[in-house]
Amino acid sequence: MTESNPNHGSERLSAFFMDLLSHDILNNNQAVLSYLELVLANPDLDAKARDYAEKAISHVRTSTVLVEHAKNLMAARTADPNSFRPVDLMRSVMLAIKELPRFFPAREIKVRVVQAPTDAYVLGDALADDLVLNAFIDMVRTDPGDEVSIDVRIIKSERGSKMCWSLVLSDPNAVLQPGMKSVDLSALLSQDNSKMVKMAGFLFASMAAHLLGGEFDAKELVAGTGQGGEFALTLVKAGKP
Amino acid sequence: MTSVLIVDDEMFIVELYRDILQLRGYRVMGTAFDGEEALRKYTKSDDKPDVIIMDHRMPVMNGVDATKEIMRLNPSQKVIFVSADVLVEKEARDAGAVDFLPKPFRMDDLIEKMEKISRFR
Repeated sequence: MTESNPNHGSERLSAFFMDLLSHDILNNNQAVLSYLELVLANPDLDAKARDYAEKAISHVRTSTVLVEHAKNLMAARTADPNSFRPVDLMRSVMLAIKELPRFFPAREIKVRVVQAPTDAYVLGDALADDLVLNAFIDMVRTDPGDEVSIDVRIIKSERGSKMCWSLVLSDPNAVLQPGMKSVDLSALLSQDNSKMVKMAGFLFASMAAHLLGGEFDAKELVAGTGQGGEFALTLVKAGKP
Repeated sequence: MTSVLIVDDEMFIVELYRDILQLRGYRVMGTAFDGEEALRKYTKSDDKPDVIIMDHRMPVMNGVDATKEIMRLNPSQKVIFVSADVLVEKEARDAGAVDFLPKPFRMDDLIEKMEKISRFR
């Protein structure tokens, strides 16, 4: 059977390969993760080796999240915005805070919720939880230290004529790469891959937020100094369910 | 000692589960590389496993179909579903799986679920 629209055929082929690839990557990640856990279970393991194994676990978990995020993005591309439901932003934040140490077992992460209204519902789907977790992971990854402190605020905002909620994460020790401060999504596909921002997670977050009708921004805490970072995930406000 | 049947088409995953489960004191009574092989071994054996660790995406017969068949033969069989396909969780539970773990998971999480089943055996 021939495809009436060649784009549909190539899209289906991409989805097919994405599915196969992600399945095999996750299986291999399972093996790496479990053998590392076996190594760590040895009480005689020296501190340096333990540190290396914990760092390796962190990277395996991050690669898993990237795969999941890419899969979810693929699914979200065809999602009907009318099917979006109210998502409790604070619930997503609490889930992410709980999950975070598993991705960075070798680092001490302190999260301080500074401002958290109880009625912060946004329009989204399962992608919203992934997005919030991804924002936290990206924040930690931009901080080069072993001890990470993140402040969390949820504030009202506007995007065009739409009322929104913004989840703002800030870390005084984060170091943002130049490309992270301005992501032009429409230019991404035509861009030379070699010039893209290195953090795929950050790009996924930007694209996923866009698919949910929102945006994901990064800026320095003190403009022009290169010191500190702030991520803002803005999603369209929803009524309480 | 709790007995286990491991069903997964990836040989390295089967080896991984076997290594770790044996280290943790479980009796790995068999392995199968697809649902049909699992069903065949399950039907033939008089010694039924306490727990079956079941993957989903496998050649010949997938995990959901194999679970349905096994549950038809023995409705009290405990099946823990493990899969990289998180979307299949509902189908797996509907088929009769008592639990679902998305890959990759911590082996401690699997052991915890196995111990829970052992306690109520």
